[in-house]
Amino acid sequence: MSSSVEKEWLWFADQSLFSVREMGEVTYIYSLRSGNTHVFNAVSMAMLQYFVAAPRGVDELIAHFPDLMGVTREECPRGVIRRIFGELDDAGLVQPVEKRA
Amino acid sequence: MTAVRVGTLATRRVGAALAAGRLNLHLGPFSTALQSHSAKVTRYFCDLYRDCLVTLNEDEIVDYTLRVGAPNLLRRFVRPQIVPDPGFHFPALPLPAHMAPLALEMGMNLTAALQCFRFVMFHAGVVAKNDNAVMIAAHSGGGKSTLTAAMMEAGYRLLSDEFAILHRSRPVLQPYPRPVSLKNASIDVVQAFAGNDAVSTRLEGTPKGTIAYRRARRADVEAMNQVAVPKLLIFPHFTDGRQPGVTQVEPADAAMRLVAGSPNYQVVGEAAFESTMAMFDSLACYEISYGNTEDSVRLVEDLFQETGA
Repeated sequence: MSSSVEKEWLWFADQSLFSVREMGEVTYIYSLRSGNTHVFNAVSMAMLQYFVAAPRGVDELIAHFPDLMGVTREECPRGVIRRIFGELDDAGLVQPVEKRA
Repeated sequence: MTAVRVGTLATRRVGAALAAGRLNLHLGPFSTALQSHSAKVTRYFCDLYRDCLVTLNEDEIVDYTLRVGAPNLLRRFVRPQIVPDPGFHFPALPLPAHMAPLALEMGMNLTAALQCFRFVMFHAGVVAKNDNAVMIAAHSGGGKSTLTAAMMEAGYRLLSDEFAILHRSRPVLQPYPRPVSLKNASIDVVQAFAGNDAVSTRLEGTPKGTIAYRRARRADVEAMNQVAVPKLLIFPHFTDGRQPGVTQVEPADAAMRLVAGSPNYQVVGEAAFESTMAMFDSLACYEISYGNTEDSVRLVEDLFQETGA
């Protein structure tokens, strides 16, 4: 996915489309759309919840995610954030819902 | 027709019913219509399934059908071969006719593994004591069946050698007590403690080496509708002469390993996810390594006690 596409859209994670179960330090996500079960660590889970809360842009995510995780930008570089976001998208857990105004 | 135990029927009558395709096996949650002209299938079935219930009725509605026979007419007579036909296309290399019991058991596995959607199926042996279950999961040849058979001798009832059958709506396991598949050196081991009568004739030269089957006991079959609560999940590792050892496995890791070995988890879908996760809420998971059967039984017994079951 190109970064321009990411920037044009607001993204949302519809929690009616997946089931969540915590087990120890990981969280299991069952996607009703794909039928796949995913194992998430705390970082991936935090990002998913970020998009559950409201439709948001990837630029916002990159700007806010280090603070959300309580780490510095050096510890949470843009490339890592984009990669994890890409994994959520590949898993069908986030969807573009509306174009930015 | 009322169900009767195979052992109460004359072999000739069982053979005729099998040939006519009107022998229905009622075992655990499944009924299977069996058809075969093979005398070897008849003899094996009368011996290893003697405590199981069957009906002789071609009009009965059953869950599955399984034909075990020659792949074509010619192969009934020319270098005879046999192959399981579960009623749907499944690539299977025909076996020499003397391996008929293997074809039957392979076919029984196929029918349940690929057509069952009422339960969540995992590839694991299951035994239970006081309705608390131990699941034994390993790849083929990893020691699952030997340990399952050994636990039977240690006072556990057999639920299944091949499938942990999990209810969709609650985390309990359903028995399906078919013969335990033994391979190569494990045949002598199990025969030594279970006795000659408990183990079938050996099949030499199969794709998995020498194979024999340990019969489910009458008590195992009689308890075929008695569910058990999974308490312990074991991943066994046998290495000849190895000192016994135990390693705890994170439930999250164990769950993924178990799911990877399920033939129907993806198809059953969300119910499989919910039921599997609920099962892991109260499941202790361990890898055990050992170099002999006595050590493996002792390790499992100790871990089972620790669960408070």
